[in-house]
Amino acid sequence: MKRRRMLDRLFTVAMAAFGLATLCALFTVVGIVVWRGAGAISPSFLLDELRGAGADGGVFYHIAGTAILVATAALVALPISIAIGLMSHGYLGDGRGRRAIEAVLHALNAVPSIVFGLAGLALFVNTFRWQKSWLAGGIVLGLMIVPTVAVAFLEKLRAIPAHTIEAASGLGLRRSMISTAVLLPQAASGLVTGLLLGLARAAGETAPIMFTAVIFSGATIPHGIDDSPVLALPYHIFVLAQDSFDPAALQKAWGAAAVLVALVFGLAIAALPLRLRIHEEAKRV
Amino acid sequence: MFDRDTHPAFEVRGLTVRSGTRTILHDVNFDIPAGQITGIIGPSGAGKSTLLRCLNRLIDLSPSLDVEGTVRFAGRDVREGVVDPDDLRRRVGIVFQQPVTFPGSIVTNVVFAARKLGLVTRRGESELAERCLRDAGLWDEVKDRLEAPALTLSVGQQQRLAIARTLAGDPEVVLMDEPTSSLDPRSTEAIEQTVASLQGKKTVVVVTHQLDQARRLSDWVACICPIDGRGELMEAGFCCDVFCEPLRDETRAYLGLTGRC
Repeated sequence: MKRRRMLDRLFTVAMAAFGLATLCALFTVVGIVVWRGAGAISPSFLLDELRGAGADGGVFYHIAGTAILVATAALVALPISIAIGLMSHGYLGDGRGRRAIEAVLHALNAVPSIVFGLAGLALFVNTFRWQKSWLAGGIVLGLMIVPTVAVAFLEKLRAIPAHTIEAASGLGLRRSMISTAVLLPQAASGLVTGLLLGLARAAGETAPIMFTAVIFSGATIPHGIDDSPVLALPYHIFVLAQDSFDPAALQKAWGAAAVLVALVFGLAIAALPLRLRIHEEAKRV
Repeated sequence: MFDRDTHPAFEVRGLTVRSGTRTILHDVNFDIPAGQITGIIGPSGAGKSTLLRCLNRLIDLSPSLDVEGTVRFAGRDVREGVVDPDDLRRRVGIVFQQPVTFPGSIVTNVVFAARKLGLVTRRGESELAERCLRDAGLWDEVKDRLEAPALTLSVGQQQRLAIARTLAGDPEVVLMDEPTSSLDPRSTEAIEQTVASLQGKKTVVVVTHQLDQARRLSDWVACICPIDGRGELMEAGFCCDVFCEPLRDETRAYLGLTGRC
């Protein structure tokens, strides 16, 4: 009895220690970024455009470019992930097709982002002759995060009790109606969670967009599709951190990193009311 | 078999259901009278729920099961290619053992399928909801909180809500798979009243373990028992005949546990 209680306590302490270590790691990373970048943050840094090879000016168009890429990625990933989830869960049953789709999703999730970048380069830049384009970058990012979004959606779909689907079928609803009226609303929280995770990843990726969508300077808001590059925070940080020996430019890189972290947190906070509402509705099921 | 004025809603012939090499139901033949309440009784594992699911092809959702034989409804075998299973399920509604509520309010739940299937206009929804909730015996209990979440209802009320939702689709037949097995006596009584009120308006088929309930509710009874591990129809007939003068020893043995004439 005493031994069992000790083991239980040991397990609790170990779990708490691991949880604390994870939180410490997160706060350390965010803390370093905020601490090093805080000096660069000012209204002009957020609202001005880049000047002096990154040593001067601000990151307004980098924020706008990142937002455009992330929004495009969301618009690409969301319908594809919904279609994959509903097709896999609503139409393929428990058969081989469903297992194959899930295996492909997990495999795609493990593909390095640079491979997506190269595929985008081959397709959009070399084949379609778009040169660098925000749309190409958004599509590549969107396809890259599809596995993350779709897997989270599928997990939630799998949690819907079979008798709920049976009840809807028993009322005479067609599969398409069950998909839209039962499966989608009840698994929407998984979709939003997956999308947030995916977009947070997309916002910080450099490799998939460096060949297809972004340049270091000279771009503003794009007005077309082909030859319409954008600026983006992760690529800006990457170039400044790698190539700049100017301390002022490095300070700006830390500032840009802090803005990127704030963007990701902002995205999660902005989606919080939606997630809470979906969660409340799901609890009522 | 039936009264002169009664015609069968379903004609089940040679119905056999297998799961791999295991036979769940074997060569079931019987008719279900239209406009009456038919009780299906039998021990656990006899295949009563499987039989019920064959009537509206909900069995199709279990692709591992093989179905043979015919189930004729409205003059057609339900498994004929021309029969649309979704349309069949709208005409042959089902209420399950565990009530299922969909997200949203009480009234949303009642008109859930009717709205999706285009059976009611937006304007007619409240009228339909009231009528179905009255038919399900739930109106008086929820009329002041129709917009409240359906999950705030007790399990017994949720079951009647499920009945109201089924009725909102205006089915010709209502199948009930042990609708009171998880309910307290008061809720059970309320559901039984609801079922009894459907007599003459709808064809009702109730699977139940409660022999007293089958006797109270049913005009017609079918008894299914497992023989060598597979469900077989022992007999079907008027409720009083099956309960008082069962033809088969298996029925007598099953009823003998609790059934008295």
